[in-house]
Amino acid sequence: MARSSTENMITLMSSDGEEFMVTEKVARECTTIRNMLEDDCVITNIPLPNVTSDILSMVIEYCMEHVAAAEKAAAETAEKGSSSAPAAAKANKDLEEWDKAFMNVDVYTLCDLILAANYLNVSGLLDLTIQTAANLIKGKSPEQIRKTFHIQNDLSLEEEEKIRSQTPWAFEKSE
Amino acid sequence: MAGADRISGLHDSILTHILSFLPTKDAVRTRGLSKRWRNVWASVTVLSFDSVDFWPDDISSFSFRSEMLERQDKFVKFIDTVLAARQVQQVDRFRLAWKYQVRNYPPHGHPVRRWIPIVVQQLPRVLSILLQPRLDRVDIIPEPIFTCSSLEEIKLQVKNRADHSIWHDRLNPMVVTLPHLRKLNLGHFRIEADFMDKLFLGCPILEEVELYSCWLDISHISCGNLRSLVINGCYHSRAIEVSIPSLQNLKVTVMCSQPARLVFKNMSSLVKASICLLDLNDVDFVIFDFGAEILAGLSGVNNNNNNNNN
Repeated sequence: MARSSTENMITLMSSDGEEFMVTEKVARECTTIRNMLEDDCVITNIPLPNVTSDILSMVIEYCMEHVAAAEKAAAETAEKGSSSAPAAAKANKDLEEWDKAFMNVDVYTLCDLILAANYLNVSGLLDLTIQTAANLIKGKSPEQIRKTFHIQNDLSLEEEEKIRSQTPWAFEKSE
Repeated sequence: MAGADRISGLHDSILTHILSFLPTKDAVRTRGLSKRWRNVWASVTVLSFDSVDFWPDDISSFSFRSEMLERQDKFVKFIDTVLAARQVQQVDRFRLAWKYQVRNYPPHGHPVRRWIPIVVQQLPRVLSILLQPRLDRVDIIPEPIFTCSSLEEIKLQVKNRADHSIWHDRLNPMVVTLPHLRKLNLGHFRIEADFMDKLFLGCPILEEVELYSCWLDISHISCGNLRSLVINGCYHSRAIEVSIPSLQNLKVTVMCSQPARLVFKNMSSLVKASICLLDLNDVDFVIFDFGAEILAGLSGVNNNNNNNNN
């Protein structure tokens, strides 16, 4: 991006000491960082002790993509006076496709992304990751969900039987 | 790493967040995963009950009424059990979609009338209820909805299952006090002037109203703060004067067989208006006449969007 040289740059530091230079605009996608910047506007170096470098790089990738999409839409609106509905719909669809591809991760990484999105308060990414996790649970039997998320079943047969008998309809298929 | 159980280690607030994106039936099923998960569902503040999780939308696959009855009783038991077993006394969003009701309930004995008072005490922001009752004249919608001060969005649709039925449930609460309501969507009700007056008086910040397949037994719609109004496939036997100076968006879909007119006045803030005329009998001159009459009241609109769907 040509204009980025004139923008304020912020350095984000991951828990394992890696530094990421991003524009202030990208950093502001994280509400947690935005609040820090608003409290102390000269801050340029932000340590993030709860986020590892591989997860932080993914969060930054997400924020950059979404900032770029918003800038592109704003530029088009400014150019033509008003945004054309089909173009805006296509841009939205492209971004949705990008989000979908971005969510092609293993469940361990997905959980780390949920934690990071929650901690950094990136609402779009939080919704996306939570929805992805929910989709892995929806309509699935307990056995299937355990397999997906590598959950150990520590319930005794009696306990499991009791849970099923208290809420039998929850364990039936809808068809 | 990739083969380890990461999700069970997440904080309760994140797990309940995940479960809040699911139908309540799926959320409850996670009780059976492990000890960690046994009680997580009970703190979820979004409740979503849909009959489609209990029987398919296409009920023609049921050859025996007794089987349908059994499934519907299970659905009712499911909601009763969940409402009784939850561990938090807070509901953020409540959604109920109950299609193809088979069992008859006595007057005022409909299960919804015992669920709603429980829900409205738990300060919901969003309430969405879609019902297809079996009998005419059910008067299902309980009054406490209309005095639930936390509500920001309400969607109510009560469609009688018998297609030939012309009966519309009346909405006639004694009092309407909804100080935080912004969005209201009503479907298949008979709306009377008394209710309309109570509504606009009792909802000071109401911004969006959608009326779908309602019988509008009113002579005027006038309100100070409304920004968006959708009138979709409604019936009215006398002319209705619509006078809403604050209105920005208007969308009207009418049948050409509709006998009475909508007359627009004082619509000075209107930015976008969409008028859609549905003509089933292909009587072109009616469309022409009718469209011209509607548009006459909409002067000063920046963006007119007219469709004639034949």
